[in-house]
Amino acid sequence: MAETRPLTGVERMLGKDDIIVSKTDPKGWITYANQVFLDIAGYAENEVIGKPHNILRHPDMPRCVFKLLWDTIQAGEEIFAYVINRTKTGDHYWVFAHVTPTFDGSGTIRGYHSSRRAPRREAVDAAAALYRQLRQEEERHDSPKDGLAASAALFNRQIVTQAGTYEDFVFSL
Amino acid sequence: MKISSSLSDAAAAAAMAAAAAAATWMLSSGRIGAGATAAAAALFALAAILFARREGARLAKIAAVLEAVSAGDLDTRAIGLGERGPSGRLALAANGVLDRFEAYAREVRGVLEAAAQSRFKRTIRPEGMLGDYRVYVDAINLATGRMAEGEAAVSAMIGNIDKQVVETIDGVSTLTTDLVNAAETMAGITTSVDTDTEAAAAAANEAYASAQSVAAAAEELHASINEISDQVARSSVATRDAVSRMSQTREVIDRLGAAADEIGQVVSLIGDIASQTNLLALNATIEAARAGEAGKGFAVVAGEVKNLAGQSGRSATDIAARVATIQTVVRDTVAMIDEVSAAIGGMDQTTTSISAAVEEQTAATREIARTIAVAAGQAEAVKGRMNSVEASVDQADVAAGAVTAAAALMDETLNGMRKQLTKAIRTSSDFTNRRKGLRRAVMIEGEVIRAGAQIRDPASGDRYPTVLNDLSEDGAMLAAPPATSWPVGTQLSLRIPSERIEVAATIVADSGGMLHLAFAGQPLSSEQVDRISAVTVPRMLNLAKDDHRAFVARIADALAGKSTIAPASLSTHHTCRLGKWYDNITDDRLMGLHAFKTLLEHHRPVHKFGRDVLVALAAGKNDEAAAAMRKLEAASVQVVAVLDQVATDFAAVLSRK
Repeated sequence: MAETRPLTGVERMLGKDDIIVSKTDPKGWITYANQVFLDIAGYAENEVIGKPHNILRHPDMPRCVFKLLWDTIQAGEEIFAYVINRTKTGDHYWVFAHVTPTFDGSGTIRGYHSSRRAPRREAVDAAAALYRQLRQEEERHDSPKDGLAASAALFNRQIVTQAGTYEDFVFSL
Repeated sequence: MKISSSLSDAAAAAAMAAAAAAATWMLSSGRIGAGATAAAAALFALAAILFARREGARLAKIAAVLEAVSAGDLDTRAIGLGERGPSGRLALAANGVLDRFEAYAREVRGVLEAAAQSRFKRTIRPEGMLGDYRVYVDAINLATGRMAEGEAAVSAMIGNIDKQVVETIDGVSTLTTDLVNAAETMAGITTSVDTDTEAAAAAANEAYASAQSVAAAAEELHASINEISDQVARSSVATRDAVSRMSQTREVIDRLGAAADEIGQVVSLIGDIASQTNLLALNATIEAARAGEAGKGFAVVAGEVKNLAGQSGRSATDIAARVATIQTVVRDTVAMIDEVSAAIGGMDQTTTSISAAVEEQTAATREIARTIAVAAGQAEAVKGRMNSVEASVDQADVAAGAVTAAAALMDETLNGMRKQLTKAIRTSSDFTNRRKGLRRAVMIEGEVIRAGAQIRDPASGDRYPTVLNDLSEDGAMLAAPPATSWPVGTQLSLRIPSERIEVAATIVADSGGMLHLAFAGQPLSSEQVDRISAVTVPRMLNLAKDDHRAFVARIADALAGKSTIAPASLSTHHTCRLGKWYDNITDDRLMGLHAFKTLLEHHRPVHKFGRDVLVALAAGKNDEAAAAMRKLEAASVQVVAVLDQVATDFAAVLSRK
């Protein structure tokens, strides 16, 4: 990635009624980003179109959450997730993301659609606490593969004990 | 995604916008000299033309986007048109409309799909849904909330019905099982009662006979006692007679004594007279002597008188002595008679007490005789009753057989009813059918792991082997592992190692030892489920054939005396592997087969005849056992033929699909 400006720790807030929309191809390359996206992330349209979606990736996001996200949408299912993103300038913002596959006429996935809305504060606090735990688990292991497996196990355990299914868990936050 | 523009278009548009802006600025600033007016006018004209052309092209792109949207493609956006200028603003507005609408539409699809799968916690979050959208979102959330309530209510109702049906049937099943057990016990008891009854009748007979001989003996005893009594009475009379005769003898002796005394007095008188006579004779002699010769004769007479007097005196003394002797004898006799009388008196008393004792004995003997007569009568009555008991036992045996058959039939009917009811409720509508996929009959080993193991952490969950009875894409029914009592709602992981299947699942129902699981997450593929069913149903049918051949062999061993099997330990047509499987099949493809429908009526006799053999053996009726064995063999051949037919017909159904 061209810009890897250091994180500022400054949080930006998404407007109460704003909806960030972005679309990607099946591999996650951005094909559309709406004005709300560009405004909050601090990019111009031509800086993001054709770029991988993970230019927004914030290091606080556990890898196991993204793994679950991709596993789910690649299986043709929708997913909701609390996500912390970074802006071009190194600030960050929390969103409540709804990611859905887009199918062509024959039922094959031809891209993904993500709409992000402003999360409730208490949900952000809960998600942040959980993600911290998962990140620690991931960093505890030498190999990234082991770290991912361990945090996925921990994630599942938390989900099962707290709510049963991931969906119930997300909607309980 | 259809993109109405490209990045190079975007650059051109930007250039056009810049030119137009420059022209506008030059015109409005008034810094242009008059000489430049023509050039400026030309430039302006050019810029205006360029601007108009590019703006036209941009508007055409936006129009194309909107046309695509009109045609139902919500995925389209106008991109690369910036945000400034009328067309930029228009593009932004068009994208804004689409973004909001598509986000809403995708939420709606998600929530409705979730509702279709009964996942009602998935609602539309109101954040970001403003204006009219919020109204629609609220309406949808309200509707899915109602659906959740409705489904929960129906679910609860069905759960209740399920539970009640299962409980009722279990209750009745327990009763029928008890009934069957009782009938079996009764049948067993009747056999032994039969023997017992015969023995009791024989004993009663013996008792009757011995009672009669005792009665006879008592009768004899009574007679001899009577005899004794009579003799005693007679001796009593004799004694009394003897006593009275003794009294008379005594009186005679007393009179004899008195006579002797009187004789004594007479004898003393005679003695006195003799003394006087002697004195007189002496005097006479003296006188005669004085009278001389005249007196001589006289003296002779006097001497004679004196001699006579002496003789009388001696006789008197002699008599007195003899009288004294008589008196002594009389006194002795009296004493003896007194003694004898006393002895006879004592004897009389003894006879009286003997008489009393005999009297008592007679009464006792009479009582004994009477009691024994009663006992003999009762023994005879017992004998009669034993005969009627024997008849009742035979009847009870028949009744027990009928009860067993009726209870077994009832059990079957109830089981069938439960299946039909569950099917009727579950498949009456998609709403109540927890499983969307067709339930395919299977017979495959798997294992279930408690929730913790869902996260592939064997240490935190417990694993249990199980056998699956049916399988669909989104659920399964399997035997509850023994020693577990997992409530409905328990999260499990189901593994079928031979098929590399591992799915997370929730227990949604428990019907009499069978757990109903709903899979969470990815459903199984229909192809895999079909294949498992196609492979394992024939396997199950083959296993069932082997099981029943082995069953027949075991009974044959028992008949040959090589082993002993208690009839109660024998499996029934519900508890054997085939029975358990059959009773829990809800696969319409199998249930629709004629051969499958007749399986029950052919399967039942196999277990019944097997039992008959063992029962007959236990009762020692070897002929009956052999006859039942022949029936068993015939029934077993029949059930194997039906199982083969089911396999053939099932294969035909599968190939037709």
